[in-house]
Amino acid sequence: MGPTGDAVNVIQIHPTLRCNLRCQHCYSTSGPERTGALEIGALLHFLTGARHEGFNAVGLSGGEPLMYRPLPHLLEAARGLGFVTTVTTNGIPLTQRWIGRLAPHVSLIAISLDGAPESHDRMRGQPGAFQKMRQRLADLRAADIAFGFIFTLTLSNLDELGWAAQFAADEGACLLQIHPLERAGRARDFDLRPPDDLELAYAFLEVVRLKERHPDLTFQLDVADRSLVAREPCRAFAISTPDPAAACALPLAALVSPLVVQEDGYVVPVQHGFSRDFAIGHVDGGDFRTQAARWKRDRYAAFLELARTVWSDIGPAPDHLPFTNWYNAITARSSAGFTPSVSPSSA
Amino acid sequence: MANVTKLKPALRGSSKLFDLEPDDHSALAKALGVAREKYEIKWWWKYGQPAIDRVTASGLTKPGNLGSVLEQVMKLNSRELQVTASCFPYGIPVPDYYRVEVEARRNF
Repeated sequence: MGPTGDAVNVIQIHPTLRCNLRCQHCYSTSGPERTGALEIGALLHFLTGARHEGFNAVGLSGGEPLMYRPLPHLLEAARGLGFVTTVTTNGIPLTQRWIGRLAPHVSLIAISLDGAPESHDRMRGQPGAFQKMRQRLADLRAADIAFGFIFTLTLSNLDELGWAAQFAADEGACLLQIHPLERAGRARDFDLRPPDDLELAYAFLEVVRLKERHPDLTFQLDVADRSLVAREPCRAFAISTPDPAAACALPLAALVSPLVVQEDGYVVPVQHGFSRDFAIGHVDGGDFRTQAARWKRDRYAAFLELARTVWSDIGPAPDHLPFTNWYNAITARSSAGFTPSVSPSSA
Repeated sequence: MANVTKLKPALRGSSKLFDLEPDDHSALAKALGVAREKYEIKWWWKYGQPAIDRVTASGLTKPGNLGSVLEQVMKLNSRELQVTASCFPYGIPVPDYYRVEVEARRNF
């Protein structure tokens, strides 16, 4: 169930907001001045419980995850528990030494790419950022680590996606993923505009055109197709509230995925910044299976009510606007003006 | 409800790529109809999380259960999911148990 289906159930971890860059579009306002990091022991304890709850993939993000010193240990332990592992990085700190430490434990490395070099450097807030990132790619290829690029789509940069696709193909990437900008954190401070539904429609046309030009590159445009969601509401969690006993009997991953472990230790559904009213638990909150059982019993119904509300909000639209940013819609609704009929905190 | 920002068309990235007039909604809908024959968005991932196209799992089973375990695993095959399984016997000369390794790969 949910936007990534039943087979892959992801936990995205933000172990620190420390970063070597201050990117304009960073939704978590990460940067060199940010200190603090989640304690590795608590994370491993949490992952053990989460594996029992049916989660099978871990994505490390941040901040810059390579600024998190225990990263290799965390990845090794996650792999040992049976998780598929990914790391999302700006690429600059990806030295040969880091690559050697990560290679045995990571399934895929995703590198942020914001367009042609000058656009990339501007968004990254650092002249030369593109060139520094590019210099790391030869070592990745030599280590035979699968890697892809993540392109952040704004209202004004779709014309650079073709350049990014050519670059990704030339560099031997396996994946080019296109994420709509989230208007949160520093993106809000810089007044960056996310693509609206009209721009997402054009983005889809461009992706189809680029797929034909680069058949060996996997493209993934991360938007919800309204007609698919209308046909299969479970992809957006828009289902009837089941009998509580039935929900409690299922592993958490069968009810909600992805999960996000924020830098403050809260485990929230769906996305960074999701309202804490719907938090599943905390990495320092003891046995995660116990916390998950409590969430299923007390808060799952309110989460489903929120999802149904968002589903009906995004549903009707003209034929020329078939796509929308569901993650943004449900995250914004979770904290702004949504009052479930069953209060999450009092249920 | 659709979300469309009112702004000068020239400020859109798409304006540098497409000849379509911004208000020609029927032409855009027609182009999308053709494009959607070629690509369907089946899953969508959260910001900063790369798409994962395969997962693996392994487990142990007794020889008497091997057939039904594999049958259940193979039932997972679908248009969207390719599932393969490998079996490794443990025990000589008669296997005491089998380790079954399953890989599920998605068709993007």
